[in-house]
Amino acid sequence: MRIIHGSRTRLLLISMAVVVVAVVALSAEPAQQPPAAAAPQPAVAVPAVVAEAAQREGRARVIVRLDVPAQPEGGLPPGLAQVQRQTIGTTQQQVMQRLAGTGARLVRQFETIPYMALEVGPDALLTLAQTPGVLAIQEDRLHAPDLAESVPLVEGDAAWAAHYDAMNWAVAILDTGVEGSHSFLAGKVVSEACYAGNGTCPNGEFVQIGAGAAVPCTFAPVGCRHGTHVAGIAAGSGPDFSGVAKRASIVAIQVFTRFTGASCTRGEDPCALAYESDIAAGLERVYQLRTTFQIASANLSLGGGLYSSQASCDADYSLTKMIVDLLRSVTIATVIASGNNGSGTGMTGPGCVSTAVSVGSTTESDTISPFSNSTSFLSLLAPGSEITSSVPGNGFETFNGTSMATPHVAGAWTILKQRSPAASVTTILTALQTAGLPITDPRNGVTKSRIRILNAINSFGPLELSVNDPRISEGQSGTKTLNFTVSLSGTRSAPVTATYATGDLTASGSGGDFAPGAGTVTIPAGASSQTVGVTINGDTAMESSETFALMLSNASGANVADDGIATIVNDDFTDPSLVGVLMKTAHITELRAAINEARAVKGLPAFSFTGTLIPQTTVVRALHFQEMYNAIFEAYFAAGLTPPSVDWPIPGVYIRAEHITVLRAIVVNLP
Amino acid sequence: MRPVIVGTFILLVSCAGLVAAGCATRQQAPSEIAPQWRRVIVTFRVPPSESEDQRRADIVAGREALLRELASTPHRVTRTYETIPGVGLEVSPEALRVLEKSRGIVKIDTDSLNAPLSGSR
Repeated sequence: MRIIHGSRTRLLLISMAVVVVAVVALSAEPAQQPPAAAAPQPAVAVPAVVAEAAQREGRARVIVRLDVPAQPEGGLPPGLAQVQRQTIGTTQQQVMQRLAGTGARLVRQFETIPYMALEVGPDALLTLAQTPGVLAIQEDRLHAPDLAESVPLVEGDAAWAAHYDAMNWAVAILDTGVEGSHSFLAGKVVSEACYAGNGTCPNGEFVQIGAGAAVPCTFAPVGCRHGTHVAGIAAGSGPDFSGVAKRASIVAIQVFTRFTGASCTRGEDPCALAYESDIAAGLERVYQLRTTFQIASANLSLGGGLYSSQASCDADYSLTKMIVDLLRSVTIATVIASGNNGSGTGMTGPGCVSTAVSVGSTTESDTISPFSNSTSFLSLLAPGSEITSSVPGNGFETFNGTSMATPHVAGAWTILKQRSPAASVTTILTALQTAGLPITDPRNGVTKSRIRILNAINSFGPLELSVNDPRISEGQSGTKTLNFTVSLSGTRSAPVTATYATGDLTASGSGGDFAPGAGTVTIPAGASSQTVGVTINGDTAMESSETFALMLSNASGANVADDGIATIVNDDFTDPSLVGVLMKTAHITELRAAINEARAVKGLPAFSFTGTLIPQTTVVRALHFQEMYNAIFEAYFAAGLTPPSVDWPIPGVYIRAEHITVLRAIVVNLP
Repeated sequence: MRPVIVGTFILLVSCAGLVAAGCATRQQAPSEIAPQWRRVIVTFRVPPSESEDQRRADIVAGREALLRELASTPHRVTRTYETIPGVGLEVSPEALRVLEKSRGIVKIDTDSLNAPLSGSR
């Protein structure tokens, strides 16, 4: 599973050789030797907008691409990755040496990618363009913050305007902990847990459940900000801008452990890393909480390794896949980052698990973020570049990464579950994929969808109202209340209303069978049904069972899909041994229900029909019966029972209790 | 210059070996445990079950059977599960040998490490 094919190995070795040559070349040019002494280099192009800004304002911010043949670190062994970092660092130093005395200021230095950001004046800009090791100069563009842009980009605000904001739904954040007291996350954390394999939960144990368990870890000041940032993107809410699912709750699960030394390869020591076994425990916690909260998705903005096939990934992450599958079986999506190796062929685990929803990163201009991994089996894209969100200490910071793209999708998932609570993971993923904006990764030609939430919501069509078809025994006197249930095909964050009115069918309101009614039915925000009661008047008149309708109109927030038809089941008989059962259909399950309904009317105990009814296709006999019910009687014989020696038809007799006892006979109403 | 080349060559050779072993895939857990011990996830067999309660009972039984096999070897249970037939372990070389011979085991995986996937601007 872990063998890399020969061609890839050769490619990797060639790349390594290139890096070696670069290292050798750099070593041949000692740092103390002024770069200015090198042979003149052709000037790289300076964008006009940069040159103009430098002239106009005296300073301009630029991003410099260095002439270093770098590979994404994730595809390199640790030792060679270190060599690459040294090469990048050395080249950055040489550029700064060349710019010494020009007033240029180093704004940002990158360790893993061959870039640096500078602030330069007109003279420094000219020098920079002539400096060896500089491959390109581009404008360091200004970006407005960030969730305020990325959330509208994915149509989060449009979904809110359409009353979909994840009300009553929750997203699970498995990360470095969430600062629930942050103003952006106030009141949102509804459950906390910690699974830290080295005993670094807040209580010093391996497991902690309850309030305080998922506060942000503190052992890695930089890494431990991650979870609060991710949570803010998914579900933060503020006066100026909000996360994607601004009314969602957060199930916070801390799964990171304190590590030191060689384990910490990203510049922070101690650092925060998560064991797969702890992640699986956190996901199992999500499964256990599924009946306590409406959890739409679990967010995993983490990963390791690099996989170019889902088969090998599934094999290596077999435990994680089992729990992802378990969650998927109860319609909870596990949404996982694709990783930041800048790979066009591989993805980190566990995002590569075939049943997870993997997320790559895009920029605000809808291009693939350079750091984002992308493969043919990537699920979705979302903004992950330059995202400002909450960090511990009630602050906000800007992060980059597929970690930031992932909660955009996890948040979107809660909104779509609000729209369609019963939808499967496949259904919602398909909606997001088909309704998204196609973006092609130029590295591999793979096209994936950047999510568009409202478009995905609309792909489900409008919400629909429907009314059930209730049944009630009439009663011999007084009144009863028959409840219609008006159901909405989903939920939303605003009420849905419709006017209703009863209508006569075979039952008559004016004739006294029921009390005619009309009014407005309101399904509250976040709810999916409401009842409408109608008064039924009892009597002792022997009559057919009767029906009336509850009709909806003038619906607001939904379309009317189906009116309701109620049946008032007659329970009046001159002969106390008669049992009348009227059915609209003759499915076997309904026949069974009808028989027991009839027996209940007569005060007889219910049958247990297990294995006693023969299939409907083997009906023994049927006869027309006209006198009272204009009905066909169908006699269903219990398996193994001998038909009784009664004479069929039985003149003047409907269905007698004793016949039911023996024959399981029922009455089927004809239209 | 020569030490750089030699050092890099060693790196290349070692990586070539690692590539064959899959160095570009799963990130290995570091050794913050006893020397030569390994941190692993073990998945074990459970019979097909019709109900969730039965499956949970089977998972407990499977785990207990596995731990009985390890009883005489140095090991530590790091994580257990109710719904999936797996267990996290730190195992000594002796315990690992027992696991590798066990008929009830489906798979032994390294308990891999995962990092946050972001960087600040």
